[in-house]
Amino acid sequence: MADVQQNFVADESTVVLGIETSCDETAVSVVMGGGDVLSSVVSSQLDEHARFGGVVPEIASRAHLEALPNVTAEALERAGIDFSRIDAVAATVGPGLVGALLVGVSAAKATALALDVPFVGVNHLEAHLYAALLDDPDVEFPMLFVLVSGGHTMFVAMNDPHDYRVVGQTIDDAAGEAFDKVARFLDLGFPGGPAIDRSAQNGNEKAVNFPRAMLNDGLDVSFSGLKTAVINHVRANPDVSNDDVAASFQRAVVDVLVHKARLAARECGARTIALGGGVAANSQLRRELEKAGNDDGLRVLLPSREMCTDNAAMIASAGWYRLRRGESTPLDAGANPNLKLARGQR
Amino acid sequence: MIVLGIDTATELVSVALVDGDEVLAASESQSDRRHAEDLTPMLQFVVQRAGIEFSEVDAVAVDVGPGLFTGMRVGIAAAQALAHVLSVPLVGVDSLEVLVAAAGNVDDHELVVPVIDTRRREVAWALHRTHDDGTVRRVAPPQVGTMDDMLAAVRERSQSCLFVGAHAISHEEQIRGEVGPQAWALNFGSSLPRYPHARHVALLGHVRVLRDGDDSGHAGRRAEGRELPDAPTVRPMYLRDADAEISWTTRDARGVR
Ligand SMILES: [Zn+2]
Repeated sequence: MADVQQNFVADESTVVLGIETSCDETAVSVVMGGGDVLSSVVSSQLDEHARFGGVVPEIASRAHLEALPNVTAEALERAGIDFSRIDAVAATVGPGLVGALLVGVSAAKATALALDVPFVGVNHLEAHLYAALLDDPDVEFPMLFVLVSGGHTMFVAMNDPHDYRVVGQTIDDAAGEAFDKVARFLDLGFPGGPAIDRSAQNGNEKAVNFPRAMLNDGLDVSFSGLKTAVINHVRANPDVSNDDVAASFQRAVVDVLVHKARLAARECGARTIALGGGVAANSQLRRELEKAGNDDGLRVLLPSREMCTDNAAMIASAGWYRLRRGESTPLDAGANPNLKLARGQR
Repeated sequence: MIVLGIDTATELVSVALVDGDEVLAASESQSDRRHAEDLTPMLQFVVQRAGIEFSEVDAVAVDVGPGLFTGMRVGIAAAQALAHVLSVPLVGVDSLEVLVAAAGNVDDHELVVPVIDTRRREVAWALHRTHDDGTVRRVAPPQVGTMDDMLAAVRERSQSCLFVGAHAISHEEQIRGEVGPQAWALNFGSSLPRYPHARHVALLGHVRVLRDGDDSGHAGRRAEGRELPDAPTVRPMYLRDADAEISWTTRDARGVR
């Protein structure tokens, strides 16, 4: 069996089933030719984790196992196809929660084996890069990709879909992590991103002048000091308005991200600047980055919120780009919770 | 009827294909923390070895635990996917009944106690009773607790007793010591299989499919206003809440969102 798995090269008619289970969304998607999203189904576990103020790994793994079969069935149904039309199966192999990843990887490998089609393991971070291309396939390279999420904050220079490198990253907390921690401290709820975003709408962003760390220091960023500054400020001023703190904190994060993104775009000669990851749903970040990009004469790609946050269409698409180069993944592959982007990420 | 059996609930990963009560092919590997890596190539191997195609599989049976959470999920995720792709029934059998099935002829003993190490200093067990007609029936459902909890449950019954499973064998001295003066005939089936095996998962699965059909009888799904049949799922036997697993340190290592 399965010579096809060694010699397969994807083309425009190739239909890839994508599976994403790295964190707290169970997602399955069907994508044709790397860019034509036939279906993208996301089942969020947010409610199950909210009462713990963070994602609980064991709860996530259990929920993925329970949800995946029906999410898969729904993705096929919405795409109007059955398994027989699937030419390859892609799944996130890392980074993420190991127990959660293994649910998707095991299901994906079994599916590929039973269908006698290739399996391709996908790097979740690389997939976020392709999410921008899914919304706009005619993007002009070089592109500076700003990846901001609960687990990662990095600036990635892309010369073409296959040639990218990390040019800057956080040296401590991810942006989304800072949002979560500050939101929890202010008792605004989980996840922190939307909670701060909401609260900030009613606050004065100039109320507190929080530090902008490492503004003059290369392309790396740091958010741990900012989080500490927020905590110290609130402790020293117990009567301060939550909304003002949220607005001032968000302003500081956005300032740093936009400043570094501009710098990075200039350094890598980018013609396009794109945003991705869960924090890319933040309204102020979207607004400010768009304005800065326009000022600098760059095309600004702000993928839809559905494509910024975790989804499986980006997994299927990233898988297709690998398959198009004749790459696939052997069936004895596992998950790698600490998987890095190919080049440059510490 | 060809049944594919999968067992990843303990550190022994195994896969088997049976036709009726004949084993066509089987494969196993001692696989601590490599369940996901090992399982798929083993599935490929047994199908090739049996000289069949996946499309000839009539049902899928999987060990749903109790056991190692991550290991169990690897096998269940694969089994759910296979049953879905192949459009065949999926049944779940528990690891403790699989151990008892592996023990074979146990009618010299009144009580059969399968024991599985679930780590964190706890074990899972169930109590089975043999009857004069040679059948073995479960008299206490699977539960999880300390070794002392298990021994208390066994002592309560003061019957001659056969322990099955690697963990019972490796703790034979402790078990004999704590049963103490009551000292009924305690037997440690050391010549029996020490871990649940897919061969018995498939054989039990075969019986169950004939009797009950498909296991996955959940309520139908709704999609865009239409009722859809559920995809095949089985319920894992965790026997422990996930809430106890909260770890703020691992939370920080989570993936991107
Ligand atoms: Zn993500």
